[in-house]
Order: sequence, then structure tokens, then C-alpha cells
Amino acid sequence: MPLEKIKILRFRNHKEIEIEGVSATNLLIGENGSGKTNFLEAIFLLCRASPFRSVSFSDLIQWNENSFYIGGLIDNLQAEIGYSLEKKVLKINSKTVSFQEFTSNQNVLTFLPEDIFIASGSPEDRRGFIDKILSSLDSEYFFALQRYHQALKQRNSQLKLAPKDAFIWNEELIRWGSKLIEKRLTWTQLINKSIRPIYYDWYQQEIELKYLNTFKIENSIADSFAKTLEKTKIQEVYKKCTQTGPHRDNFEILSRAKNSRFFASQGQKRAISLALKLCFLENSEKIFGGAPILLIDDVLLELDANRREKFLERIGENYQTFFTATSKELLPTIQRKARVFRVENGMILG
Amino acid sequence: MFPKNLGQFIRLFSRLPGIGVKTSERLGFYILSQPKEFADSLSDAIHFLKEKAKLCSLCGNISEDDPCVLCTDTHRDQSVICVVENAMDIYSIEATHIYQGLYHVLGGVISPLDGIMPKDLKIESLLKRIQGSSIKEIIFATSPTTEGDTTALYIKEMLKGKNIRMTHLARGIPVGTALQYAGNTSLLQAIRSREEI
Ligand SMILES: [Zn+2]
Repeated sequence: MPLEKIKILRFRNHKEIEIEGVSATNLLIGENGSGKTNFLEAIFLLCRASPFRSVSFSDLIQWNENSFYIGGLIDNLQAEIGYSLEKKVLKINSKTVSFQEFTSNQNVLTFLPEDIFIASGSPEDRRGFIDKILSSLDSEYFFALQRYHQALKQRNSQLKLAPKDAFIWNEELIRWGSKLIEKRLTWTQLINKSIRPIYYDWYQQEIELKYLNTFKIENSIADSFAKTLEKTKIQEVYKKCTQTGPHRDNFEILSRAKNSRFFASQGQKRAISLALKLCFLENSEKIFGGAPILLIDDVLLELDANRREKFLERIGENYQTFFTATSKELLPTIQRKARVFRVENGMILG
Repeated sequence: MFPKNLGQFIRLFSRLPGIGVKTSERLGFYILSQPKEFADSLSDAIHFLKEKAKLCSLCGNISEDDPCVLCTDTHRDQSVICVVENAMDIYSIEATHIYQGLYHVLGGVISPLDGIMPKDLKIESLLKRIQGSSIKEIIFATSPTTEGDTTALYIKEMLKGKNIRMTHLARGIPVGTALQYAGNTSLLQAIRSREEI
């Protein structure tokens, strides 16, 4: 069992929670704002050492407190994360470890309400969706993304201060940017091999993930990136920011060549996001092994009962799962096999 | 409310890196509890630290003499320079007793986000130092970050065609870390910079 025990102190609206004997399937029932999502976020932090939405660590501390703590037994290792006075401490078996060491322990994948933006959001939202999934499943992608964005920030700052020296940052930008593009290409291929049957089973329609890069790739990705940077040189001095690269890439979901933003119903959009995540999940297991913990927050109710069952069947018993809902009658299949927790005002009653 | 002098002490000491107001208060009370001699030698130490210390005009090391002992030591290998970000890094490398060459302190890394451009670092003086010297190798001991790597690349670019070997420190798994906890990225870099046994 990945997660067996968890202890949460002064985190969001949870003052003190201690749960032993966490089950393979877990169902958290409570009203909106009771603290279900915060509990999922605590599990996420224990695996990835970062919050699942972009907020600062100080925002995670309970009101009027000045530190939080989360500890848990994951895969027989004692993992602990503490934060106080702008200092983060990560420990495995009582020994302080690096971020990389901490996060190499257990993978986790979230299914959140905002995932629907992959089908309905802006290009930034759609790119963010893909970046988030790959960052939590592929640590090399996560590292490349961080380095790329740091190089991009420095380069844009350079373009404002002394544009003739912007080339200084090209090597870093190209190195990590090419890595991102290479991985996005590979993953898009993998996803397209597996998403058709899943989605077809749900809606009798064919869908496809389309990846649109900002420049044409000839020979190597790095060479093409370098050439394009050379071509946009004058334009970027005038615009004072980097005009080409994976930070401007676009992803689209196409169905019979129509774009998902224009055709899909709310249920279809939700189904698209769930099917995509399933594909990423199943492929990452094939590549890296190890079953991630799944945190499934309030996303199943937009599907009708039939398709919901198909989704749950696909997950099967392969993962440790945490579902949330406002009432247990909403997820009968889950309820039958799950340990059910009631969540009220930040308290968890099991 | 603390007495005026203690308050002043706390404000000044909490400006030091890694020391907050609470620690600063504890330090203040501790010094008050000690004999007068301790406070005197502490304040002398701080006073002379700045008064006696100079920057070596050749390498940028902190020293009581200019040039510093490392630059004037003729037993050191004059054909290799290790480029570091700060003078403190020299002492970390010296503590290993393995490196016998010269040093050059850059005084930071290129970072337009912090307003630091190549001209703000001791890059020009490094190039001058190399000009017409017997330097055959430069070891970059800059940090393995976007900025550290870019600074090293920038200097490498400036020295293109000079027939100088340029290396950077190996990256990878910290000594003593079990493979399973190393993390993919460290492991990847360690495989790339593997060495003969
Ligand atoms: Zn010197």
C-alpha cells in the first residue's frame, strides 16, 4: 500500500488530523469548503513537496498559525514535510533530504475540476494542463521545465536591459527547450495511440491530441530552435521578449477535425480531460513503472452513470485512490469498496 | 521594550544572513551574561575583520596581503585556474587539499533579473590574467544552475580559439546517497559524467 498513515497539523483548515489504516480505495464525503480538497492537497504535498495549485507555502498554513506539518508512511518510508518562517524541511525516515530525493519516492496524479480547461481554456491553460501532468509523472520533464523557464525569465530581462547580449542565454534556452519539445512530441504520439479506443467507448467519437510547435523542425530540434531564434532576433529586440519556443506551444483536442472548444458539451469536455489523464497515467506506468496515487476531486459527477462506471472500471484496483463527493450515494460503486471518511469543518471522522 | 543598546544590537545582528530577530535576541542576552572580556574580543574581531581584510587584486580572494598567499605561492600549479563565484568557495575547495592550482573569484553570476551583467563581474580581469600567461586549463566551479552554467558558457565563448582546456565540476549523486533516493535528474547527470574505474 502506498499511503498507510497520515498526520496533518495546522494545514489550511485542518488543525489536527491523524489517520491510520488508510485503505486502497478511500471516499471523503463532505460539503463544499469542509476541507476535502485540502486533505487531498496534503497527500499531494507529501509526494511532490509542492502544492497542486500555484500558491505560496505560507498560504497553506492555517489562519493565525505560523507553521504546518504533514507526515505519513508511504511505501514503508516515513515522509515528512514541515514549513515555518519561510523555511521548508523535507525528511525521509527522520533524515533531512533534498527536494529530488524526497520527490523520487512516490508519484501522484490529480483529477481536479479545472482540468476541464484542456478542452475549454486558453492556450496557456491547455499548455499548463500538459505541463502539470508531465511534471508530476516525469521528473526529467519537471527539471527541464524549471530550467527552461528560468533561462526564459533571464533572457527576457536581458532583452529589456541589454538586448545585444540576449544570445548569452540561448544555449540554456535551446538545451532545455529542445528537451521539452522532444518530450511533448513523444508523449503526443503515445497519447494518440491510446486515447482513441477509450474515448470512442464513451462517446463513439474519435478524438486526437494535436501538438503545435512554434517552428518547423528540420534535422535536429536544437538546430531548428537556434535558427528560429536567429530569425526572430530583430523582432524580439523591439518587443523586448523571446518570441519563439516551447513557452508558446499550443495543444488542441480535435474531433473529426473540429476543435473541442466549439463542439463539446460539459460532459464531453470533462470526459476528454479524464480520458487524457488516463492515457498519461497508463503510459507513464509502462515507461517508469510504479503506480501513482490518484486524487480524484469532484470530477465524476459531470459524467452520466454509465460513463462514470466505465471510467472507474478502467482504473480498477490498480491504484490507491482518494475520491471526494458531497454525498456517498453519488458514487455507489466506490462506496461499496471504500473506507468512507466524513469531513466537517476541517475535521475528518472515519 | 528592550533597553536602547540591546535594541540596536538586535536590529543590527538580525541583518546577518540566517539570523532572525529571535536568534538575535538570544545572542544579545548571551553576550550580556558573559564576562566583559568576551564582549571586547568579539567586538575587536568584528572591527579588525573589516579593517585588516583586503581583496587580492589578482584573484579576488579575501586576504591580509595583496597579492594573497595563494597567488604568491610558487609551489602551486600556475597553468590552471579554478573560477568560483565567491571567495568563500575558495575555502571549500582548499579544504579538500586536492586542488593545487590558482583561483579567480567572479563575485557572482550573470543574472539580469538581479541587475547583474557580465561587466559587473570580474570577467574582464580574468581575461586579462589569461592573456599572455601560461594558463592551460580553466575549471569552472560555478553552481550548476541556469545562471552558473550560463556564466561559464559566456566566459568559454570569450576565450574561444585560445587553446585552453575548459572543464566544469562533475554533477550527479552526492557521496553517501543511495541510488534509489538519488532522483532521476541526478542519476541522469551522474551517468553522463561517469568516469573510468
Ligand atoms: Zn590572490
